[in-house]
Amino acid sequence: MKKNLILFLGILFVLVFSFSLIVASGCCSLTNGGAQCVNTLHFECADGADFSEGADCEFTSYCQEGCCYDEDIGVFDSRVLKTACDVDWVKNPTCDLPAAQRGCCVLGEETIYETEGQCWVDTVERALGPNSEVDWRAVDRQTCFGIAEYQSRGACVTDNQGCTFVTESECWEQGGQFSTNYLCTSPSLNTSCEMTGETSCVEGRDGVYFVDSCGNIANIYDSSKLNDPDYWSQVIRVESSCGFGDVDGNANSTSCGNCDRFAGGMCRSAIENNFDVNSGNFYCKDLSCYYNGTTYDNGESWCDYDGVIGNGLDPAGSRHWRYTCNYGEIQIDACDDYRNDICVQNFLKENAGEDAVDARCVKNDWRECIDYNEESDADGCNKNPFCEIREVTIDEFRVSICRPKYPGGFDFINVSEKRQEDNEEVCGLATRTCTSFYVKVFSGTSFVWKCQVNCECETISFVESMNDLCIGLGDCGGYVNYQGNYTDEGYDSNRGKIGEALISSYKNNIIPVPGLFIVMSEYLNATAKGEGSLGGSGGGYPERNIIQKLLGGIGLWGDIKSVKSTFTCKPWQPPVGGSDCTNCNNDPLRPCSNYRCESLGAGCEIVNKGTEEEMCDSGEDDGMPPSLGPSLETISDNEMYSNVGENGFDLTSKNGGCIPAYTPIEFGIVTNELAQCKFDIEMVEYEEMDYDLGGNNYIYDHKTIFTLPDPSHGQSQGLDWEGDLTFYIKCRDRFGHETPEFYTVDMCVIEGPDNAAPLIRRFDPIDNTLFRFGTTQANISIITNELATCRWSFGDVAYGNMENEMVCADVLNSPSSTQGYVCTDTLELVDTTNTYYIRCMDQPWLEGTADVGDRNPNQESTLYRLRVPEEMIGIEKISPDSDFESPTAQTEIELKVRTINGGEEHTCSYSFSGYTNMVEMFETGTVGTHVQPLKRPAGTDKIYIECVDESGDSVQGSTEFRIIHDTSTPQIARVWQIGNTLHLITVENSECVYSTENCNFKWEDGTSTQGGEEHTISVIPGKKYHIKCKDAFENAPLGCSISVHAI
Amino acid sequence: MLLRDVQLRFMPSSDKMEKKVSLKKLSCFSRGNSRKKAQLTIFIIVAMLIVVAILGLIFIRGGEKIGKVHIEDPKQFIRKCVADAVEDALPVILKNGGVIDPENIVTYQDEEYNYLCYQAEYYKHCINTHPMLESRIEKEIKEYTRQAVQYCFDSMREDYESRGFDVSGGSTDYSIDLLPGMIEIRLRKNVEISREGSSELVDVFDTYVNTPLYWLTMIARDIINDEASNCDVNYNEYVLMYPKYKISKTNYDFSEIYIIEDRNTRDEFKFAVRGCAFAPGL
Repeated sequence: MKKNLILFLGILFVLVFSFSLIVASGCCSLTNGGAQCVNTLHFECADGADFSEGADCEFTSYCQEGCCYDEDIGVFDSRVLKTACDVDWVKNPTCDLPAAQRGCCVLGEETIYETEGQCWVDTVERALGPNSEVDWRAVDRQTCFGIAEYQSRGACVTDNQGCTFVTESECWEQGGQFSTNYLCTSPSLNTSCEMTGETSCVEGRDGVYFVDSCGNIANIYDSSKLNDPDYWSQVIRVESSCGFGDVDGNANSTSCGNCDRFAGGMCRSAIENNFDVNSGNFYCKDLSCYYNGTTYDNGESWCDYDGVIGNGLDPAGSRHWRYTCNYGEIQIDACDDYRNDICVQNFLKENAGEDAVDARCVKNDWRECIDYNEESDADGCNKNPFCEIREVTIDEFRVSICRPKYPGGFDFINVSEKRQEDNEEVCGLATRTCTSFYVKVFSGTSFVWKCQVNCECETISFVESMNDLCIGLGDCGGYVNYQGNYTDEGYDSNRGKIGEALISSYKNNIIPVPGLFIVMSEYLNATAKGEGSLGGSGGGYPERNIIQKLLGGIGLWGDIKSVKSTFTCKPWQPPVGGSDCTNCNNDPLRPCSNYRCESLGAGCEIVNKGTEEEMCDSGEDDGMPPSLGPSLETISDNEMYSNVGENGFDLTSKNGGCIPAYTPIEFGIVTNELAQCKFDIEMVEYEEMDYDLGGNNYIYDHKTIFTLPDPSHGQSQGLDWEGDLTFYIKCRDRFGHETPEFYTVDMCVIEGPDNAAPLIRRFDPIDNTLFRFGTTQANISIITNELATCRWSFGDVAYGNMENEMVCADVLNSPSSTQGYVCTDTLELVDTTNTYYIRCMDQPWLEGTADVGDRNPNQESTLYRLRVPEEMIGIEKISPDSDFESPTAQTEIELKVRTINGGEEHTCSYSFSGYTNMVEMFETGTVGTHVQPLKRPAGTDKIYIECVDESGDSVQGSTEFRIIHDTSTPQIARVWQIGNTLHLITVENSECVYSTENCNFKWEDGTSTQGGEEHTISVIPGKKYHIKCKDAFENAPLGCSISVHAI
Repeated sequence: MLLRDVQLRFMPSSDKMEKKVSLKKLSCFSRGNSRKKAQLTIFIIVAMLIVVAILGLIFIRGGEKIGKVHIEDPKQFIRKCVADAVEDALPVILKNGGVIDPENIVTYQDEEYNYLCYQAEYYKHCINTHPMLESRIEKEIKEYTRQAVQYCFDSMREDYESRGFDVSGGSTDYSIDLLPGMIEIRLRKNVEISREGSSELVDVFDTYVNTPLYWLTMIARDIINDEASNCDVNYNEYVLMYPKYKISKTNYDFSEIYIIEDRNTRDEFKFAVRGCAFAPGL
């Protein structure tokens, strides 16, 4: 079958992405959209806004963030641009300043959590008057609430036996007789105020209070004390009143108004809430919230989830939810979508013995888990509470990956090329090939192939194990959305699809595990769990050991064969269509979002965005399949589209002919609507097609890059392929409408016997690489377009005479790299420039056969050079390096760094704060001078410099200088006259002019002396000379510098 | 004849913000030397007064036809007029997070929310775009009402001039001070209303408007500083510490939308924050 042929020949399909238009980006102070300080493209920057090409906003002067403050009023605002601050500004973005610390300002019975400066304003200017004492205490916000104090109040009786319940000072103002802690209804005071059954709420307090007939507040409402004169006589504190310490804060009590907002009760209108109370119109309203059968007190917060969490099992589209009980209402405080936040929960012990629930959304550090794989940092993975190491082991096949416990979410529809690439990179960590090895053994009458190693990989358990690994990396693999709809477009395997039992278990993952939540403390006390390693045998090189082991026992290539089991982990895809979209809108406690909506169906989208009618709904289904055409902008340099028709096109070389073998070819198609496209070399149904065209996403542009093999190699392996090839393409839109006919791409490869020697496609490291100073050895690899053996020598000799054999462990049909077949070796670096001659020879399988002469060695060597610097990179000079004067408050300077030695590519960076967070200089990249224009205020600057060359060697340096803001006019140091010549000395280089009239002459009307520090004037005795001098910064006096009488 | 007797009744103000009201009394009559001349003069004056009175009556009746209301007390008129203008500004200020014309907004449920702290890029803290929010609000209200204040004085002047008074005014000293529970309006302008040699000077028009805007602004500023520094606010803490206010926070389209509502007045201060937004995927 042709399919076997194409697999055998190893056509390499590689996704490519369009090359972004290279447009200068940099830091823009204000974009057209009104955003400040954004790293963006120049054309998105508003007219007149500052733009620094190539600069990151973090390191531009106009985008420096700091603390904007007015110490007089105690106001400190964090992260403010200097240009936006009208008052004082300091480069301390989080206002980590002593005066910015907030504490508790006690204003009588009221407390405010604010800075000491604010407290002063509130106390002296606003509340208590200029002679009052400022009471500010350095405590946290919660403590502050607790120290709201009772200011001593009492009955203030006036002449006519009227009474008000006020503070002593207020009573003085009224001219009344003050009785501390007495109520106006106290019989001993004999006032006109009487006990009533009326009640009221009091601002700043939680409870319900009795009100007397004069309208004064009395004690806490207690219906049993309605007519108790003692209770109406003196002030009784909350602690001694009814129901103090009640676990529910006397919520819904008909008789007691000692409410406590933290326990669950707060004074509210009984009429508005339809509540019957024994007396009065107010009561302690129950502020509890009821959620899924659980009661939460006011202020408690808790987590809820869309399904199973952790172990990489969070379904696509799911979110972590945090709720807060906000005075009887459930407030949704959803954690960041795409599972960028996780909800963690804790139980806090309360005094009364009940646990209070406290939940937080914390940033999900899932990206770091992915990065550990690149760095092979198993320790880092183990120590990070957001990550876990997961392994798959099947016989000798082992994969070990650091993956997030709570995988991050992806977007699904119309994904940008960059995002596609990123998503595929994340999922691709679980893309593995397991090679099973067979050995030919004699079985009675004949030789048969018997599987010896990794045999289990050829079963469905390989696919299921790998898919389990895959789904935990992100929205990857075959998995379910948060509504339990399973799709399997997120993986491919030549071993089939995962079984129904596993799918069924996946579907159960949309049911949250009761009582399961992420424990907050786990994220506070994370410790290392042990050591491990990342990687495994699922790649290329490790299998070499297995092969060699087998070869060691058998001795010949011909006695073993390998069988590959592949698993490709790809981004998860939503179900086709839009029938479930509206399910997103059904739960007011779990509002819909773009992520949730798109996870329900490829046809789902948010409509009426920004309006009250915003919802998830099905997009318009035109009922038509997508139409296809060539992507005219996507074609490799030496090929072209020919014979473009409705149903396809030809892919030919520029002259219209066949394409040389092993040439990388890039092409693409475009669809008129969002669609997924696949292709195959056989006319099979869409679902059976093996290859994604442009990934498995719903996009418009679908591109791929591949190489065509040499037909003769197939023929030499007994396969029948003449060199003509057709790609059959089908696309499917978001609603499942497939193109009914195949869209075909025809091409052919130049045929003939294989007379071509292998082509070395790539060196790693690349030719002419400069290694670090002092390096003596280099591990290198080369990639050939076809399976080959390779050798190297210090001299240019024939392949057979080359003395050094490289390690070429790949086997036919199994290139280690997507670029081709890999050979490796370790080279000695004996000189500053080391030249190696490399040659390869193809068709190694012919070795030891009669056709060995058909092998094609390179007739010419490929030169490969590796270098080591003679001396390490150094910094020769940094300027400015001394103090200088400037006439302006802001001075434009050029920071210049001169580098020497090292390699040819020197890149210098600078920073004002040390050798971290450095920013690349504006003009840098080569040996010599590196320049950064800067605008600096007067004062002392220390600038840190680090330069690195292409070898990775680096050197650090710094410069310190003072910019002196010079606004002074030149001073006359000395004046004397010799004969008729007046001599002047100025303290700095100056230009002077003089007049004999007065000091008010214009500069241009004056007679000039010579510039410099010494000046002479020819004078007439008896005349007065008015002289004014200015320095290089044009600093000149308004009048004269000096007036001199000539003698 | 005194000006007071003709039209104006300046009410003595008990308002403690009033600093100065001066009443300048001038005599209207001069004495002549010749008795006959005096009699003639009196006759002419009386005749002129009759004519003026008739014309005034016609004019006043004409004014009444179009519903013009006479200003009895210029101070109270200006105070109310300016307070009304400030009150008109308040809903706009509250809705737009402290500004009249928001420049950078997110639309959510048909309402526009002004970003007070914004970062367009992913993974970075928001930048506080409205530092010293209290001062900014004072400036915004002042700018928004400046024309209205001028209109108040113009209306008063037109009214008096239509009734034969001369009105002259000095420069306007106008400021807004956001205070707990109120906005204090400080308005000073020397206004002299005169006719027939008598004049009256009014120069203090200070007044205030009750509003919870100060505390709403303080809470908003706290939230913005928390968001700018820590990427988040301790929502529970805000809920418990500010029982007088209902603070709601909605996570929408990579932004946080905040509404701080005064539970008594139902005034709502609305704004949005975008910072520390995390992108889908890597």
